[in-house]
Parts: sequence; structure tokens; C-alpha cells
Amino acid sequence: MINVIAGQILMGISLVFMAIGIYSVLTFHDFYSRVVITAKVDTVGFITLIFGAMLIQGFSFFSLKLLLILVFELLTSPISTHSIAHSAYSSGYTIRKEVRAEGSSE
Amino acid sequence: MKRLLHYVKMMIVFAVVWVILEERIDGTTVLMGALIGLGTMLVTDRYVLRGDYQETYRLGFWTALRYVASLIVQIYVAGVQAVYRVLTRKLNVGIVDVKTSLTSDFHISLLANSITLTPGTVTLDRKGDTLKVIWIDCTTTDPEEAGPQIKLNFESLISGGRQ
Amino acid sequence: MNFYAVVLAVLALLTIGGITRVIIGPTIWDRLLGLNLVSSKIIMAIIVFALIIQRSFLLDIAIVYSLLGYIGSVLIARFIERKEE
Repeated sequence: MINVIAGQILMGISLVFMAIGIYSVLTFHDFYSRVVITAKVDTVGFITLIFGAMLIQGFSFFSLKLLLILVFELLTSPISTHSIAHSAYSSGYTIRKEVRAEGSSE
Repeated sequence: MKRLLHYVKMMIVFAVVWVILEERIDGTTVLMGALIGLGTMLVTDRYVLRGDYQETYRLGFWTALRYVASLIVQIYVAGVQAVYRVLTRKLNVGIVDVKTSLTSDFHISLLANSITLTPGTVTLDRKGDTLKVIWIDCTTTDPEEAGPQIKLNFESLISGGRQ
Repeated sequence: MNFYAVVLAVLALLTIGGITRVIIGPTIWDRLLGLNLVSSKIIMAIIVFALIIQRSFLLDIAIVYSLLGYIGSVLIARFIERKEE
């Protein structure tokens, strides 16, 4: 019983992380800051949710499959982030400084 | 002989993955997984990765384990720092060059992968032993100063046990 | 009110946020980033749903979806890359 509650708490934490990721992707004005923030926060949310689900499920084939998904995600998530950032960079996308809303920003 | 040993090791890994996917442990499933793994490796050797890649893509077991453990800790540190930066909106994004002392391509790509996953940095490009990195808190553009703050201890961790 | 239902609802809201970025994104890389986020949210929703109905074959779908999403975003990123010189 205790493991179910702990797993649900972990799931709640991961939802908070992902909500912050979506908030940052919606509100930042610069593409590179969006990339840097979401790459981190989204991975943290994913790992936390999978740990929570494994904790709820206990040791079984279900959680082993979750572990397999986690390994794939750890291998592929940075590569896809990197390839998006690299594609934007080599196409000549330059950094725009993050301006706090003080009239000068659009 | 070395090639045969590599095949056997990889067949064990493939059999474990196959057993997890099939959700059944018996002789038939294990044998089936090993055979499918062997077929996959033969096709890969013949058509995709020609040459001796076994030596190139090699990482000791304990090195890999320590690397993954430290990676997960660093991912959590990175997440908390990123959340702090989002909430205070303190961003100072810039692009810096980082030199690495690792030599093999595989190790450099592992380093780039971990740089992407750890605090406030995403790898953009690589030329030789220089990595181009976006840094969220760009206080200096000097490669010598920025290096240790970005690479942390991953360089010694990846090459650890092999030198 | 079930806990998992709340989790699924929040995931749906976050997916809508990601789709908003896909729609309003000024450049094509913003759209790609939003698409990446949406696909990871969908994988998480599949995992939570598999947890609710206790069937593990849904996880196979999650694995295939994660690999396809990765291949798709890498291929599109390579395809829209313009060399300057």
C-alpha cells in the first residue's frame, strides 16, 4: 500500500515538472532558451513518471517493460533535441536576448 | 575468437530483451530471442555497419553502470536548476566552444549526449575535438574557463577504467 | 474522483499546450519542438492508461511510438536543414 502512495506522489511531481516545461515553451520568446529548458524538464518528468509507475506496479514484466522504455528514452531524447537545435543553428538562426516586458519587446 | 565472444555477449542481451517483450520465461522463448538476435547481427554486419565496430563501441560494464547512475543524479540537478531559472526568468543564453580530451568518436558522442542532458546546456555541433554548446548561463565565452563548468566529471567517468 | 483520471486530464491539458506551440510557432523548428513535446506526452498517457487497465501489451505500443517519434523528428530536422554557404 505504501508503494502505491509513493508512486502516486512521484507521478504528481512529474506532472508539476511537465507543466513547468509547457509553461516555459509557451512563454519564452527565444528559440534557444525554449530548447534548453524543455530538453531538461521534459526528460526529468518522463523519468519521474516511469519510476512512479514502476513503484506502483512492483517487480513484474510490466515494470521491466517500463525500464526498457526508459532506456530507449534516455538514448533517443537528447539526440532528437540536439538534431532540432543543430538544424536551427546551421540554418542561421541567431540568438535573440530574452527581454523582460518593458515596452521595447514587441 | 573475439568476434565470437562479442556475438555470444550480444545474443544474451538480445535474449533478455526478447524475454521481456514476450513476457514469458521458458526454453523456447530464450532460444527464439537468441536466434533472432543472431539474425539481426548478421544482417547488420553484412549491410549496415561494415568493419570492426566491436572495438569502437565498447564500454566496460562497471563504467557504464557508474555513468548511468551519475547521469540520473545530474539529470535531477539539471531539472531543479531549470525550474528555478524558469520561475525567476533569469536567462542569459549564449554559445561557447568546449574542448575535450577524449579521442574516440564513440566517447565524444557519449560526452555530447550527457552534456545535452545535464544542467543548462545543449550540444550544437562538433568539429574535431571542439564541441559547440548552448549555455543557459553564459558568464564567459572563454573555452578554458567554460570547460570544467560544462563537462563536470563526465570526461573521466567515460574514459574511466580504460586508461 | 480517481487519481489516474486526474493524471490523464492534466496530461491532456499539457498536450493542448504543446499543440498550441505547434500552431503559433513562428518558425518551423518551434513547431518541431512542440511536436516532440506532444509525442512524449502521448507516450506518458499510454503508460498511465496501461497502468489503469493493467494490460502490458499497451507498453509495446508505447515503445514503438517512442521509436517512431524519434526517427520522425530526426528525419524532419535533417530534411529542413539549410546549409548557408
